[in-house]
Amino acid sequence: MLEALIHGLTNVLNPAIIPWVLFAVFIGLAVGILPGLGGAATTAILLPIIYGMDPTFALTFLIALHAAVSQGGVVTSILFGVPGETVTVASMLDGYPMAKNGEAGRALGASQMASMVGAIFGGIVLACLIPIARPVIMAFGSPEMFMMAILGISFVAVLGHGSPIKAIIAGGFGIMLSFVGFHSGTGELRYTADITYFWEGFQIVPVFMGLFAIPEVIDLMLHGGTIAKVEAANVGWKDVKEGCKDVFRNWKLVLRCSAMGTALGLIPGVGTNVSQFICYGHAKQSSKHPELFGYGNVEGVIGPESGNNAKENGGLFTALAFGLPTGAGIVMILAALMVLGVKPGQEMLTKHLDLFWTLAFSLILGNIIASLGCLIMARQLARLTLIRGVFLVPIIILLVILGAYGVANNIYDVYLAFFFGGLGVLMKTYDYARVTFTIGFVLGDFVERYFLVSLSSLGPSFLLQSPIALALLFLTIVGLASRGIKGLYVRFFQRLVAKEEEGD
Amino acid sequence: MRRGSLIFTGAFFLCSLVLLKATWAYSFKAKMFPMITLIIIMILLVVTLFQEGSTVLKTPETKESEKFGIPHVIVVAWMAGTVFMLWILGFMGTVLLLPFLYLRFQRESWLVSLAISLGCGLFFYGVFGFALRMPLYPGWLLSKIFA
Repeated sequence: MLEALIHGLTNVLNPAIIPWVLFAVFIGLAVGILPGLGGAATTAILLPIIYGMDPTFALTFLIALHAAVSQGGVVTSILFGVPGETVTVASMLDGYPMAKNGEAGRALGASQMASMVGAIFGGIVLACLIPIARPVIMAFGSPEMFMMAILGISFVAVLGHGSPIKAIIAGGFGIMLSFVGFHSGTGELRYTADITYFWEGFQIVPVFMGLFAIPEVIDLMLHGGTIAKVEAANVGWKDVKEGCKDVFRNWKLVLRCSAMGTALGLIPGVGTNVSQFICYGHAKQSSKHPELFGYGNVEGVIGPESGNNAKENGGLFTALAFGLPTGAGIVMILAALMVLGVKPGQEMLTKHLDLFWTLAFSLILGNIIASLGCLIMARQLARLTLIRGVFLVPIIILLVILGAYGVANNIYDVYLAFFFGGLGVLMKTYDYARVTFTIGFVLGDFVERYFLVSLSSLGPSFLLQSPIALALLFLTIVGLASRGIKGLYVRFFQRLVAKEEEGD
Repeated sequence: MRRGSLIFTGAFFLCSLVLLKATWAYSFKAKMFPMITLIIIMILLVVTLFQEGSTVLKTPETKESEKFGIPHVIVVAWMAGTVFMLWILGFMGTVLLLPFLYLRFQRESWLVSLAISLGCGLFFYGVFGFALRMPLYPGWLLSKIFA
């Protein structure tokens, strides 16, 4: 194994391959920064280029590109509140408020450093996983997946700020929205109002773009000024460095979220959308200042970013070792493997272990180069938040239109984004948490599908038959109860202090 | 503001009633989860309606007109106009016209407005239309002309 590992590392550090990696990172960053063209679509467009190429070169190129896309996506999410990629929506929830508070440099520094650390951590975990991965992955059946989603949904109760009842209502409506279209269990059409467009359900990007980007554009139109709402916006190197330091100050959170990301990445079917929100929810739940989440807490950027990139390592492992795709981007990598005549499966861990390591190192190297590139450019990028809103408004609207349209080249997706934009404005005005709405939307269908599969295959007592599912149930209950206990504890001491002050 | 929130919550309640009615028609497997979700939502909505209703009755309403005024109407008009422009002129028409009209509306100079809209046109067409060959939406007008 050590020999294969060294061989993989030498392959990636081959001077002939480095220009390809740099080129891939450049394309990946550009694709990530521009909304509308996802990493999977770009890989699909570039597939013809790799025909006839050396498999090591071709796959390194594609994997480095795949790695760089999410790094670029976070830039637009933080600076403009427009998710460049769906994988960077959770980072936007606190990254964009940080930019508005004049901390764009710090947010970019933190996001890129967290991504880099997450990717390296994921790579190390990957190395340790090889001997034990198969039984772990095989242990995850439908009851475990169901409980995993329930764990994610339970964050709805803690993620909203303001009224918790309204946060749960918003989460419930998000779940209802995920039911639109074909029912995976029976094939029945639900809530489509006989409109063909609704048959496939709602796309994530138009919904998210509408809910988050359009209200910000409207805010910019109404109040003018710049995105950074403070007079002296911090866009210097010092602030980028501060963001990087934040990652090391919160090293425990980075490690926890990276571990969670890698674990979630290993499991097929748990999309990045799910894992980023689970990491975001965990960051909030474990934070000393959960009340600052949504208003620009750097932990809200560090958590999902470290989880996101670590997840890619887990996803790559499952794809290469079992041929199971864990996301759209990985599907394209698998397609490329087949185009190049490399068969994913057990042989990757035995016969082609050197290629496996080459790909794993390409992913880590791609992430490192992309992060360094973004960190170097962070100061200049952060200055974009100081451009007058008058110039940014039409450009952001065009990016929203293109982002929503680019998912399926369907103009109705753009109309949908504007509809959700209106809903987003109302939800923001009347204190209905948009974050919990999106979590419900992402996880709703997932929960229902795995619940029905578990019920039909194992019966009503399916939870009792799986120790892992029971452990996850225990974690969910502990998570919810700890929140309640923490609240009671804080209130108790607040009253005590108030009484003492009255006594004085 | 509080009245607005009450109306919005009421709209959510009506929406959930409509969804509940639609849910009845589905098979047991297809309606079980939505039904559970809707019942929870409706209970919480009733609680919220009572809470907000009692607040509206107890406290005098602040001037809502201060919150929503002509600037909001203008913004809504811009958004509706953008959607209409996209439908009629397609993506490239909107890319060229929207920045120009918006910048002129904001009293930027002719030169700046023209330069930015042309820059946007070149950038968006260059990257998405030319380099990436994304099929950009042509719009109703162009479809009619070339039909």
